[in-house]
Formats: sequence, structure tokens, C-alpha cells
Amino acid sequence: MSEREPAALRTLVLHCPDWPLVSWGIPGDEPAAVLVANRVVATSAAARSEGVSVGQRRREAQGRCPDLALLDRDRGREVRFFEPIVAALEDLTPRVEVFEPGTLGFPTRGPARYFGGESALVGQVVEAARPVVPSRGRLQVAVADGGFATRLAAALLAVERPCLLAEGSTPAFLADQSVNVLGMPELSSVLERLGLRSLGQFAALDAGDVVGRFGREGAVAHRLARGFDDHPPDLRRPAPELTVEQVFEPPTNRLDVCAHAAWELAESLGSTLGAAGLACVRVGIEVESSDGHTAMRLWRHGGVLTPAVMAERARWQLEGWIRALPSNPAAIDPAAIDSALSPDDVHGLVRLRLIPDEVVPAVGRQLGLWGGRSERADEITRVVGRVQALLGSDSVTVPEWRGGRGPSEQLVLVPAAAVDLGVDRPATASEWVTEPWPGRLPNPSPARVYAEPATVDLLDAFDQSVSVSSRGEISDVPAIFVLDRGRRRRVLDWAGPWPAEERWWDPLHQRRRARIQVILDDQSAHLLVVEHGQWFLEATYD
Amino acid sequence: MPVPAEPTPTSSEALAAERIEALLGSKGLIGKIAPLSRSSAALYPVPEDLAALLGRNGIPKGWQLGFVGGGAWTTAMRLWASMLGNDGWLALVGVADLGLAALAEQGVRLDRVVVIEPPPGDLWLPVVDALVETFTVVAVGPARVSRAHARRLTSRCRDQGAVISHLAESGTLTWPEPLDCVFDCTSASWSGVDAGSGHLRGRKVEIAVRGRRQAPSRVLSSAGLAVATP
Repeated sequence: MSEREPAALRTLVLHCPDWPLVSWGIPGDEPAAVLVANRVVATSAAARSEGVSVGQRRREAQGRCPDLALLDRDRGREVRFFEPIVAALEDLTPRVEVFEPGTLGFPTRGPARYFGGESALVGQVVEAARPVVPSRGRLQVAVADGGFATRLAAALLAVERPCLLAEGSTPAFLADQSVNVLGMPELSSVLERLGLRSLGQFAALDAGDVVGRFGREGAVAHRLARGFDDHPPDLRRPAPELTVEQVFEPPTNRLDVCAHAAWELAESLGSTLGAAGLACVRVGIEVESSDGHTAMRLWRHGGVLTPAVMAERARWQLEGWIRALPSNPAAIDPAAIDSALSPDDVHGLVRLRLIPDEVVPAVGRQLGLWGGRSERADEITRVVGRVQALLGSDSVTVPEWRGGRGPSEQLVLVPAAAVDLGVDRPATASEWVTEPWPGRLPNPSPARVYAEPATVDLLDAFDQSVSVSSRGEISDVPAIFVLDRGRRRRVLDWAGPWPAEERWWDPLHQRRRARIQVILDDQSAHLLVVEHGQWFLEATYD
Repeated sequence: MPVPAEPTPTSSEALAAERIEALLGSKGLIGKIAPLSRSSAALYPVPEDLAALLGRNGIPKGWQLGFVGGGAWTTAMRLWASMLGNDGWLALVGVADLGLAALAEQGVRLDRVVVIEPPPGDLWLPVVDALVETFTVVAVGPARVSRAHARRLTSRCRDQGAVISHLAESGTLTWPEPLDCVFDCTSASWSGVDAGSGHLRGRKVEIAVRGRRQAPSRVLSSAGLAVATP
């Protein structure tokens, strides 16, 4: 990390904003959001202008924008629609690397020389990509120093026209950015509390002090803030014998078979690299099909590629190939394409290879390089990794306490990929939450908590809707319970209400709710919540 | 087997006896089988009232359990807490509604719990198949699985020792094969609530068991929900 270190590589990044929505064929002026586990992970421009934002729950997002279209995340689909763009750019340079579906990049040195300068190269890239971008997608292209800064420039500066940051001007661009762009929420919240709001302020700290205070993650962030890449550039090629491969006999185009093979390859690659003290930052995924064609894609990640991450990228890529698009780019209309897909059309795959294309010395203990811990935790981690390879890493989560009043707020699910299952995790013990939560429901907690609460009509003996006043008083004794306009059921007994006023200081996010417990005539007990006069079935004491 | 009081056997009889001894004797096949069958008969501990109900001291490894009716989810959680003990791992597959706070209150260690989204149809089996390899209990919601696949998974569980718990969604179990033991629960009564005051504290659940390997029996369990509140 000395100052003699050469500057980050000149890099070109092509970024298609809102790719998860574009891959579903949603135009930007239609309000839509993509969800994972009931949380918003991507939004269309129209949805953003209505106040829908990443991280919101489904209900909250629908509350902001009632005609919001909701879509499931489908990474395989995102890769599939991005494939033609990657392929088009591969005609210009062989070293195209995919960062995630919708974003790719490559070092400009060779191709810029060939095409006569960086701005000529940008023109070539736009010209090559334009015809294969789905009609609803947009292209944003930037050239700057280093992958991180260039991705940022492509997302922020290249909205109207391609952006070319002159050599050496990247640190000045970064200096004005908020520390949130690092994508390390815990670190940036600490930095903000210390009064360091911009990358420039953070970059001005002494590198040694940063390592001492924030450890390895802080050191990487500090490198990025100063305009370096997260790892020093190292152009040594890894030894070819590190490549791992699996031969399919007979040829297969079953995604689960391929995904499983990818997981086993990633796992063995991970342990080989670990034994050699190396970690992979860019991996090549190569397949050979039974008709003799081979295809290869390079994937990079904002850090070290753990076996789980490698296996997941391989799964996305395989899905992109196996459920390939027609070769005619004009036919790429996301709305029309699904019916045309048939996995039987493609030739089977006969070989899958994972090539550790760029490796760096492993620093610290890497997740996924198992050993030296309890054998059981390692086995669990291995099996969890295999499930992640099959379903995608977002689909495997572990619970942590967060504190809150309602049963759905006390615990959150965090991706298993983000934690180490082999070590003590204090946030999984209920003592983790020490602040008292006024308005919190007394124990026991309900055994069933509905992710999508159904509406309930709660009536008194005279068929009048029961309401809760702003002072937390109930209007009358609840007598009749009607779920989703279904059968009327008698309320035998009830308790409450427990008012819950949240974020009263924030007019945009404040919520006033109240909860009651009811016992119905079949001796089932439920937790109901009322907001804006509407009751919901939030949970059942099953 | 030869009996000493008998006249000396002919050489061929001696040979046969030797063979039988080799097959069935303590150093032979029986000697090898016995410890195996003992280990496969090993039990996961269960709460006392449920042990009385089941007529055995635990749930045998590799069993498939079903939970139906009012109070079934809490009963399942109580059972898991005891089966998992301090070191067991629980996987929840496609049972997103399960209350994790309740799970913790019943005594399950949350740092041994992994939550998995419902896998799409054709991936359900590969996912559960992978999980039973090392998880102690795998809890699943309704699944569409062919009879042949269900049987294969059953034998996988017997090999690995994992117990699959099938949670009924709306009163019915969809598993195509008979389950080893099904807990039919009926919520009987609640305490702690009185016309607006108090809060739910305890309840009684009537639990009946039946199944392929379970003699029918029933009990009124009061240990359903009560949790000390500070």
C-alpha cells in the first residue's frame, strides 16, 4: 500500500440501469419493483418517484404506490438477457468481465490502442451494444481509473452521454461522493458518525490508522476511496493446473445437475486455492457443448470470490446458456421470449470448467475455506452452500434479533452468505436486544407470523366496525371476526389493545398502529393489527 | 448351533456348524449387524409428556413426522427444541410463516437455524435431499413430490438419521407416502385473557398420535405455550 503503487488500471464499464426490471420488459415509466423475500431490491424510475425504495417491505411499497407491479428476482433471466451484450463486446476485446447482470467492464489499454483512443473505443462499444440492448434498456458507458470508480462513474455521470474521466482525475471525482457508495453499510454508518461523510474526507486519513481502527474491510474501503482497486493489480497469470473441470457423461442440459457440478468444482477450487494461500478475484466459467462449441465468461466480484459466490455466478451463467435466447438479436423482446424457450433445443453440455483467472494472496481467514473449526459447522456450511448453488444465495437466510414491537419486526433474516455459521453469533441470542420496546407484546410469541397479512373485518355485537382511538382506546367489544370477507366467526374473548406508534418524529415514515389478541369460537387465537381503520391478521398463536 | 451334550458331529456337520457360527456368531454377521441396528434405532429425546404419548423415549432417527391442526406448529417447535438439544441443526424449507420468536421461546437455539425459501417444483427434492445429509431436523411445508421420490427421500433419511417434519398448511398433509408418526392437534382452551384485560398466557392442546410406526394414543397437553413473562 505504498504511494509508489501504480495507479489503478484504466477501465471501461458498461452499465444498464435497472437491469432486473429491464430483463422483465418493464419500461421505466411504469411503476414496478423486484422483490426478494418480500423486500424490494430494485425499482423502476416511476416507482422511485412515488417513494418506493430498495429495502422496503412489500406492503410498505404497495402502500406508497398502490398500482405497483411486483416481480420476483430471477438472476438466471437477468444473465440470459445480458448475454447478447457480453457477446457483442467480446468481438471488440477478449477480456470482458461481468460484474453482475447489467454491468460489465474491461481494461481499456489494449483495445483503446487498437481502435485509436479511448473515445473511439467508447464509440465502438456503444455501436456494438446498442442493437442488442432490449428496447426498454438504457446504456451508460464510462471510462476511468479502476473498476470501482468506473462503475460509479457509469452509474452516476454517464446518464445522458458516455463519460470519460481523464487519467488522474478519478480521485477528485471520488472525493465528492458519499461514503455510502462503498456498499459497506456498517463501515459507512461508523464513518458518518465520526463526521466523515465524503470519500474525500475518508481518503485523507492515514492508511495505517485506518487499518488499525477498521481492520481489513476498512483498508480495502480506503484503497477504493483513494482511487485504487481493491487489490493491487497483479498481472501474473495463475497456474493453469488450478483450473478444475467436470465432464458430463451423458451430455446434460439439466440446470440442477450443472449447478450441483458447479458447486462441487467451486468447493474443490476453494480448498486448493486456500491450501496455496490464494484467493480468487476473477473466475472464468467455461462450457463445452456436445456439438463442439465452447463458451467462456469472466466474472468479477467486489472482493474475493468465495466458493459459494463462484458457484452462484456459475449457476446464473449456466442458466443463461442453457435457456439461451434465439441468435437473432432483433427477436429479443423480454415479453415475447419466455414462450419461445425450450431447453430441449440446445445441445447438452459435455464439460464445465472453472478457471481461477486472477488470484491474489489470501489475507485473513476467508469465508468458505473450511478447516480448523468444528466439523459439524463445516458440514452445515458445505450443505448450505450446495443449496445456495441450487437456489441462489439470497434464498438461504439465518435469523437475527433486531428488536421491535410486532412479531414480524423482532427478528430479521440475513443472507447466510453474509455470516460465518461456524462461529458464535451474538445476534442470535435474545439478550442481543437490550432496549425495552414500549408497546411490545407480552410473551408467548405467535407460532405463525404471516408475511402477507390478510384483511379482517372486526365487528361489535351490532355489526359496527371496531376501531381504536388515537388515545389507544377500543370503540367496543369485538364480537365477530370475518377473514377476507369469508365466514363470520364469533370472538369468544380478547385482550389489548397494544398501541404502537412508530417514528412519530418522521412525517414520511410514521405509522400508528394497534394490536389486539382474539380467541375465536374454534379455540384458535390470533393477533390482529389495525392501521388506518383496517384490521389485518398479523399472526396466529398456533 | 451345536449342543455340547450331543454325540460328536460328523465332519460335514461340524463344517456346517462352523459356517453357521461364522454367519451368525458374535464375530460373524450378527456381530456386525447388531451395532448397526442399535445405532439406527437411536432416539432423539422428546419432552416427557410426549414420550408418554408416544410410548417410547424419543423419536427414532430417520422418521418422517406430520403435524396437523390447531396448536400443531407450537407442538412441533416444542418437539424440535428437545430433539435438537444443544448441537442439533434445524432447516426450515418453505415455511416462511413460522414465528422465529416463538421458536426461540420454545427453546430452539436460533444460531442453529437456517431458513430456506420455498424451492421451485423441480428443485424441492435436490434441496431437501442435500439438507438431510447433515441437518438434524428438516421442517417442510406442503410439497408436490412423486411417490417414488418420496420413498427415495425416506430411505435417505434412514441412512442419514435426519427427521423430516411435515407442517400441514390448511389442515391437510400432502405427502404421498404414509408418515411414521402424525401429531393431530386440537386447540382446547386458553388462559390469561379476560374481556380486554390480561394477555394470552397458556393453553391446553389435545394431541392424538397415529402413523405407520405409531400405535394410536391421545393426551391433553397443558405444556403447550406457557412462557414465564418478566
